[in-house]
Amino acid sequence: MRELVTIFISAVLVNNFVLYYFLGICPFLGVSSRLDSALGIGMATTFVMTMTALVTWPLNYYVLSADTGMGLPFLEYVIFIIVIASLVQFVEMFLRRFFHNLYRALGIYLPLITTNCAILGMALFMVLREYGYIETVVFGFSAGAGFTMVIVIMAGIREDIKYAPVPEIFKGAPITLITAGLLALAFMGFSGIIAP
Amino acid sequence: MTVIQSIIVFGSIGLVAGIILVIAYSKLKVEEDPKVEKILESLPGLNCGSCGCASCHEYAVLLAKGEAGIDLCRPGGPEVRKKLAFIMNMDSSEECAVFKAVIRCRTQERKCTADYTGPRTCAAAHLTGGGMACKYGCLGYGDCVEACPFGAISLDKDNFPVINFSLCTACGLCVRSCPRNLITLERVIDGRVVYVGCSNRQPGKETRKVCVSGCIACRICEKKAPEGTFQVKDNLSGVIRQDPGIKIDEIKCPTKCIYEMS
Repeated sequence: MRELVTIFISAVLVNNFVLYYFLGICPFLGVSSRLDSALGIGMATTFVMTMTALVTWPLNYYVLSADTGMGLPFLEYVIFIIVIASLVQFVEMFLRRFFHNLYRALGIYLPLITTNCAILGMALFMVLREYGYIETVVFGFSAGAGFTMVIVIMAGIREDIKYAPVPEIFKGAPITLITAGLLALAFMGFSGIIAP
Repeated sequence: MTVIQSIIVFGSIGLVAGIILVIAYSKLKVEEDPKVEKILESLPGLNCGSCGCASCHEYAVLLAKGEAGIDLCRPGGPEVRKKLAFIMNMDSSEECAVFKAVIRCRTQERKCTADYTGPRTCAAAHLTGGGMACKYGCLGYGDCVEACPFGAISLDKDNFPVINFSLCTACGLCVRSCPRNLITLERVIDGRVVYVGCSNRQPGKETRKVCVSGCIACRICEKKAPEGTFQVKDNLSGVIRQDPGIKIDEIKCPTKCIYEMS
């Protein structure tokens, strides 16, 4: 239990995917201009991450792993990508059929998740750190939760930046990147929570 | 050996994923009117909302059901109307009115009574008057520029918004964005729009004090222009009917606040 809480706090605050590993920067900068769409892509990413964790761990353990499976670790990347892509497709069909409003609200962001490197990163970290099944699922969920939290914070800040007197040359992308950097620095303050 | 193994593993996982997706697709398929797809293709796809629907898709669904007319898409104009009429087997022969947005404040200089240092948006500046002498004039922080999805509005060097006539689609988003309600949609006749570049409803004397080119409601335009084109109401002149017979040079507006856009 203690282990799981540590994984959760570590993935959300201390080793946040966006601000510590710089994964998933593309949606972080691209979709963070409005609060509601930021929340939408955050939720969708969390969902797909958790599902990916559920599916890729058995695949890795029983098929790919060198010790317990058939010894094909070099296939990790391609197989994880296939799993993520089919999951996103499946989620898209499912939402379209049963939750049409949510589907419309997420719009283009749903297929974009396929190319979000944070999800592939999560699956690869899972192998690297030799997590168990439950640990992996918690890790997937908390990585998604951390991503959602950061993208929502970023969207809130960017909505306020619109009304701030930003110098002409910093308008647009530069001020966004500076903000992201400051946010990452601020999150470094959490690094003391978990003892090494 | 490893090569064959990996080909088999990779192939079978791909196959299983494919089969699951095919089964899922056949079970979860959403039946949609084939017309919706076609309509959606001919719509501009800007989701501007001027038709009254939340998105182009929603409009397409309503149209396919026959619950909406074919003439609601403003950005598309006559061209899209023709295409929609073809898809829906409807008559498109009747004349389609074209509108453009005009900004009813075009003074050469903005007289200020105070410095405004608050948030740089019209909505915020309007609350305090933005330090401007004219209570009706353009604040110049570009809320309409932000609102325009087509990039048709830009601020000139004096921070006055200028509408690009050919890019404007009369979607009406800028109309809603202006806190002083300076923007209106006017009908295009003979490829041009005539409008009064002032919204000041104070009496002429007061208007003169705050602006060199505001409408002072002298009623010259009512007399010189063809009957029923201009009307002065609440100390402010306005074009109530666009007419090819309106000639701006002949009206001789004393403050030169009648403009045309083409």
